[in-house]
Amino acid sequence: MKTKRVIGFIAIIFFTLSCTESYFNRYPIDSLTEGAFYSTKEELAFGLNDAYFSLRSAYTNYFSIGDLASDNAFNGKMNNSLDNISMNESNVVSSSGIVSSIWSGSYQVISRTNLILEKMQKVTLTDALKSKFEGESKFLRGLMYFNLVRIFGSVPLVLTDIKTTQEAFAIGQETVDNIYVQIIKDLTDAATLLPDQYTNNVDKGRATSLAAKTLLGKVYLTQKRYQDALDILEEVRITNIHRLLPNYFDVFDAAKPNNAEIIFAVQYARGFSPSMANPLQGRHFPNEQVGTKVYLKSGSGEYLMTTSLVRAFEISDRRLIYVDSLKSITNVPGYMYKFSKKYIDLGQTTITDSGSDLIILRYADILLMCAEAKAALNLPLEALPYITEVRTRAGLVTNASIAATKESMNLAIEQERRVEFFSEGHRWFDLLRTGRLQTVMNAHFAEGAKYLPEETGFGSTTVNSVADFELLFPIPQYQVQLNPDKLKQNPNY
Amino acid sequence: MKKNKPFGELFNRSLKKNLLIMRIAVILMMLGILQAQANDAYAQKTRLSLNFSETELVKVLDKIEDESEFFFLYNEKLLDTERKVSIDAKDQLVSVILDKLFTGTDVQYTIIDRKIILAPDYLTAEVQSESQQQAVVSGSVKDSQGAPLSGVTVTIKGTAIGTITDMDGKFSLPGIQQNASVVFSFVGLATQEIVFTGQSVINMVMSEEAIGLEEVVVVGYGTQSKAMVSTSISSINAEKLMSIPVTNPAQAMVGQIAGVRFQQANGEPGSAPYIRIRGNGSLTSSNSPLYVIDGYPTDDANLFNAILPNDIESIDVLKDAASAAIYGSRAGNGVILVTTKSGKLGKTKFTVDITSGVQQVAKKYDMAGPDLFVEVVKEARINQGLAIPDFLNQPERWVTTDWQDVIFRTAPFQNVQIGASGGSEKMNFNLSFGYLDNQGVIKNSFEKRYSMRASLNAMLTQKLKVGINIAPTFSTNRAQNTTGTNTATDASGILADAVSNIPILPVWRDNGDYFIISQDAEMITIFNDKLSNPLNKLDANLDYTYAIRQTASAFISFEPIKGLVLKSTLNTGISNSKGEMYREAFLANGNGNTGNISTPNLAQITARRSNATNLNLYWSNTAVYDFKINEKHLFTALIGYDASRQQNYSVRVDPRTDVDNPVAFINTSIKNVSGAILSTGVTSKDEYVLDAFFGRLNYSYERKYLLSGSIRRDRSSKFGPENRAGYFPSVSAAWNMKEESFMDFVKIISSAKIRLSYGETGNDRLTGSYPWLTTLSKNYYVFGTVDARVLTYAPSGFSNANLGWEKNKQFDAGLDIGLLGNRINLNMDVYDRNSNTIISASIPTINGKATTAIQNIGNVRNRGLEITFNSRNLIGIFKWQTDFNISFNRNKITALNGDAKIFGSEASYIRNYLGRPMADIYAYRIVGTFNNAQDLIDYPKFGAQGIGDLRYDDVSGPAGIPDGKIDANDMTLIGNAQPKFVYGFTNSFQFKNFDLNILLDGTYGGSVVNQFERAISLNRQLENTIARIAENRWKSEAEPGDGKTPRAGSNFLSSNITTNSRYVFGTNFLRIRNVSIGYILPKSVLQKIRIQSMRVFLTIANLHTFTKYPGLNPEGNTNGDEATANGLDLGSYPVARNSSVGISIGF
Repeated sequence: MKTKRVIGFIAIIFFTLSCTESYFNRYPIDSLTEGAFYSTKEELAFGLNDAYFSLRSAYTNYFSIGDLASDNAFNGKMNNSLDNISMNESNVVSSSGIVSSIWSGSYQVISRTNLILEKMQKVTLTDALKSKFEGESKFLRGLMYFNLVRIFGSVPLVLTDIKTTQEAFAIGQETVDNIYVQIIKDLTDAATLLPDQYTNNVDKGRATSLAAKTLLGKVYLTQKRYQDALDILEEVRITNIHRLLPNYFDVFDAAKPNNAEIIFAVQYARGFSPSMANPLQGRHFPNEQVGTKVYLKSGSGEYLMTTSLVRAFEISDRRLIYVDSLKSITNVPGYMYKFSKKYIDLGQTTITDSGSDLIILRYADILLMCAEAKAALNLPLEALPYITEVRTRAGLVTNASIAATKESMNLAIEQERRVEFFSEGHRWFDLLRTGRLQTVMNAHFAEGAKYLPEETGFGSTTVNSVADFELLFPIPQYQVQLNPDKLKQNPNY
Repeated sequence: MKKNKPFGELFNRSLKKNLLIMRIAVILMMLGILQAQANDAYAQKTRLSLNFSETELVKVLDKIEDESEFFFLYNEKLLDTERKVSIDAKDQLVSVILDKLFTGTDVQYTIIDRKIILAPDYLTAEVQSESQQQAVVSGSVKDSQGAPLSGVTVTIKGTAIGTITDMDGKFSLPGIQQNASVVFSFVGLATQEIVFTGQSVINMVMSEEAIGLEEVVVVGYGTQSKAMVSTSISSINAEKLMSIPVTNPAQAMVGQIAGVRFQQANGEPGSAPYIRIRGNGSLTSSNSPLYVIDGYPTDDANLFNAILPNDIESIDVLKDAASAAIYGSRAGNGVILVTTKSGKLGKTKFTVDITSGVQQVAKKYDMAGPDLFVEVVKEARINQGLAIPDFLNQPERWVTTDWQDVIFRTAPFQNVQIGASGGSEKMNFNLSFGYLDNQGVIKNSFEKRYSMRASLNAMLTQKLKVGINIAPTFSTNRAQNTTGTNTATDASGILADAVSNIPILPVWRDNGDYFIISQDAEMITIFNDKLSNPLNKLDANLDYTYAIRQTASAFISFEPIKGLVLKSTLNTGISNSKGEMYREAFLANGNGNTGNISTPNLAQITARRSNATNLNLYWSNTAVYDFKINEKHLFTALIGYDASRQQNYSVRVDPRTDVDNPVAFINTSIKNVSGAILSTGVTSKDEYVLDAFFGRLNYSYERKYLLSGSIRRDRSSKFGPENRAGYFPSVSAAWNMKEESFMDFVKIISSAKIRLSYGETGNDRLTGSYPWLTTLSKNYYVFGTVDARVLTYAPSGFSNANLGWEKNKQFDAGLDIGLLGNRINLNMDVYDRNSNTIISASIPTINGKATTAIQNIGNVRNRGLEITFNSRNLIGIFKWQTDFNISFNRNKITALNGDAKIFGSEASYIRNYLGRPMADIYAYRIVGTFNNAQDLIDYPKFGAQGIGDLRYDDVSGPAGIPDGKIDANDMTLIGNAQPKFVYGFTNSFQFKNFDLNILLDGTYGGSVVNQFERAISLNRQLENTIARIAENRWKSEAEPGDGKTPRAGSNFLSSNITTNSRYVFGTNFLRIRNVSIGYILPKSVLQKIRIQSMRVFLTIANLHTFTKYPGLNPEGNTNGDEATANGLDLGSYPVARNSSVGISIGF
């Protein structure tokens, strides 16, 4: 009996001797978790800031399409970057790291904006703050879908915060038309909600109503709604808040961020730890030591300027201040590298610390888009003042004969945009919008024999071309493989 | 009651078995009387006072035991202990008291020193008639070193007749019959048996070798007789650990246990091999075993490796899931149980062990000497169209330098251990102190360690025991960066710097500066200006780690009723590591750095100070109950509850620079991070809790059929709230065939056992304490016309509240056979281990937060065979014993998430494919060289290539067929990092006082990418080349070399040094791990200097390694313990050959 009693007693002790379930609820001591975050206006602001921060990811490889895929830039092959080479030669495959980086970077921004739009509903906010959070979020979301739809066509339209891994598998592609409907809705809302400009220094660089309208103008232009485009762009223009800086050099000067010409830009800065340097600086320089200047030591040769681009400049064009030319010593002995210095920060003390911003929308774009709309509306003469304003700043006289016909004006605008916006990621999208992409690019490829083979992807026997299907880029292969039921690859990839 | 238990049982068993029992008590009594005459001083002088009325006899006896040093031996069945007695004695001799207690009963008492034997008098009558036919045998017992052994139990087999040897090891045993067997037994020594054939003297030597099935093995939360074990457990005892001059237990185990792979990836002082028990089961979690140090479970290998090998009593490895499942949660990778020594009954014993020797690098690279080097350089320059600099034609200016000799040295090694142990009936203690000075074979690297261990166990009453065990270790080591990321232009590690350095340049300048190529106006134009002077780096790099590690435990155990033991233990494991690094201003690291002794460069200074503390509290409670039914059914039941809490804490401070202070240090006055103008710090803290209920039942029927089952429930805070608890069951069975009567006639077989087991174990060792939970990532953005930084926060992924345990399910079948009286033992195990893994599975990136989320997906299988073979080939005056073990493991990834065919990246050269073992090695396969212009047209090129470059196999293309291009599609499977089998082979010889022990170990079938060779296989004009590569180089179409070495001075170096088959080597090796020769000094000599035992020995560790691997260490592995990235050698610290002499003294 004694034995049984002792054993029973011990059993009782053991089964009461247990930690409570709450003892196991351990949460990180050093880092924040999502649980209770986004419950104050400050926390929402931090979350919104991250949408801006994520723009850096979304635009990391944007230039590989905007410039590299076009006739403006080429990849110095010595860096052996297969992704860049295939982009330059119009042989993009679906496993390309460039498309997957644009894809995931853009959706990163979108997820941040969706999160804020959702979380702000549960926080008591002043009307001003509500407008700010909603307007800025919608501008950024609209911008991202505009990029996605132009690059990939039909993509998943995510408008809510994805909370579980299952949800991420559940969302499929939306039609291009519906995506444009959403973009226009977002940008129209943003244009209503946001102020035209900011007075506080710490706000300058955030999305404004004018930025939303400018982007909307570009969307309308893309959709061939020329009168709508002209109307809204004129709205921005007449505010006189943005204008051309007298000196082209100042627009890109890292010491003058968010100047009067800039409507929206992805921001970088020098001298911070962790670094906030703009990586585009080095990517525009040759990947060999060609000069003595400190910033020239960091090149990766990804976006070198083509000879045809440099030849597109008129001799006295002041914009050539941002073009440098140095002779190759080891990689392609004798070849003259031409490269853009728009992302150089003259104030940097270490090699890779450029604080230069990546400009997405600026006043010159408004002028040339207005000209484009006027021309499309068959008013080439009315387009002439806009283009003249841009050329005058570049120190160039404008021959009025360009306004002879709609077609001649279109070609003049195409030329002007090429030299005005070189190295700003516009070229591919401009040609795509005007429908001239295949004509221009195929001519560029055919000219291969005249230049260094790398510039045009000129091989020994075959000449590259941009086929019809190549007007869209492939959806990242891995994403299609991962969710084949919901995501269909673009044709021919 | 504890004290009389052994004899009590002896009585019981004997009565059942044999009527001869009748004699026993009498024999003991006679013996007692004899001894009493010699030894009755205590009984004669001790007086006791007692006052009891109508009290149970047992209480009176207990009182006597408590009041005096007397203790009683009696059989409870033969003595009426509940009889009520009354006694009133004041200051009486014990004999007087006993007379009073037993007058009028049939009980006779006998006093032998402090022992009092109580037995009924009818036993004595029986014996007297028989005693006439019986003889008396006497003799002495000594240990293998010739020292007398006191306290040895000497019994006649099959009876309870027995005695214990005295202080001089002498015994006398009356009442023995012809052909009876005399059994000598002593804890920790092999039991010996000898047949009595009428000799009057038996002298016995007992040795510590404990081969055979009578061993006791440590199992989870207890011990078990090896014969009763039904699972797969391998053990290694103290003697085998001590004979090797190593500094940590893992090194001492190498080659001695089947089923366990030890990979000594790094020879740095203080570094221990990586341990794998039955392969790799996890893709993202740790694959290291759980260590249980004296009952304290920890996954901190540092605590395990801080144990002095001499302090270890035994190491037991739980290999199958059934044995490990009792440690459920963290036992998925097997368990290593360590039991440290505790004091033994007897006189205090002191030991001193001193080992001292030298260490040398076991292997060096054979680099091109001055002449061959200059020949290659000239040829390379000609091929590159460069002029030959004058220096190369001026041998009188050359200074021949073997740069490996510059960094390597013959380093001293010293290991001193002093111990004291002893104990009385109620208390025992063990103390040890150790000092280790382990200087590295690379200059300016060392480990020094001071350690202590103190254990004290006390029996407060017969039922209540307490004990403590504290083991602090303090170590200092200085590390050097040996591993280099060797590329075509850069050499960052010390080893890479040394081997690729120019063999015709000096180490020093005349002015006392280091010779630095980039600081010499002439040499900078000739040689690679990024090469550093490795000695400069070694001297400039002051990188020290000071660690304090301690395990401490205290227990209390209580036995409320017979057979039931309750135990509660509190353990702490503390590991504190302080780092202090400073890099001197005279460092001239690579290109552009001007630092030197005469020209210090403040910009070269870096520094760091860090501190990390891990504190673990562990509370373990168990109840064990031994019971039996009908003497045939034996049960041991265990239930327990454990709780553990771990805290990790770290701080680290680094210097910082900014625009105003571009150089962190303004002078060299303060040689640590506080000398920096600005500093930056990081800190972290996290915690982790775990608890578990567990239970186990062992059952055996007549020792023939064994059955064991256990279950454990664990909860870990690392997992999501939905899936926090894991259940880990196990079951095992065994059949001791030899116990069956039908086996009796098979004389050759002395033991045979078949085992079967199945069990499930877990793994929660994911990175960090909160793997299920994602945190917010913090970043910065900037706004404004004047840069204004703002904070940004965003979710970094998806939490997985369902994240649960990784589970291993393992089947094991084993066979243990002993032949010829267990002179030959064979153990075989086959197993099938399936591990459900946790991996970060891909999710569509439209989620915008993460590319992957951590999930319980995937499966890895390990199947294998282990064979252990022991044989005592020769016994007698010349002894020879052989131990051999071999283990085969086949690893395979059997499931991944969804359609994924690879875990991780397909771009790297170490890949993990579905359906393949982890760590496949992919590289371009060399098929020859481009020998002429036609070859360049005929064969596909890798990028741009020219004549004399390596030609690669066009294996495949994007469409899966060769496409005439060499690109990433042509990387092909060259090998796998995991060996097909590993083995160990030990031979020990003993002749009189001499002993010799030879331990070999090896692996077969693995491969490694020797990336280290990249930097020294360039055949350039800029740095040195391996002699073999230089000699085999492509010279011309007529002299194409060995067909896998490019020409000197290739214009297309990058395609020649891309990861290709010439860097992939087999890692097969056979290593003479240890050879030791010892001599035990004869007793006659020692007695004169009052020393009990002394052994002197000479030992050589890593004497030679037979291998075709050209690198410094065939086990070299840069990617650490990561199973999915094994197979890469970027140059690891070489393993040293250690030659030592030692002396062990006991007194």
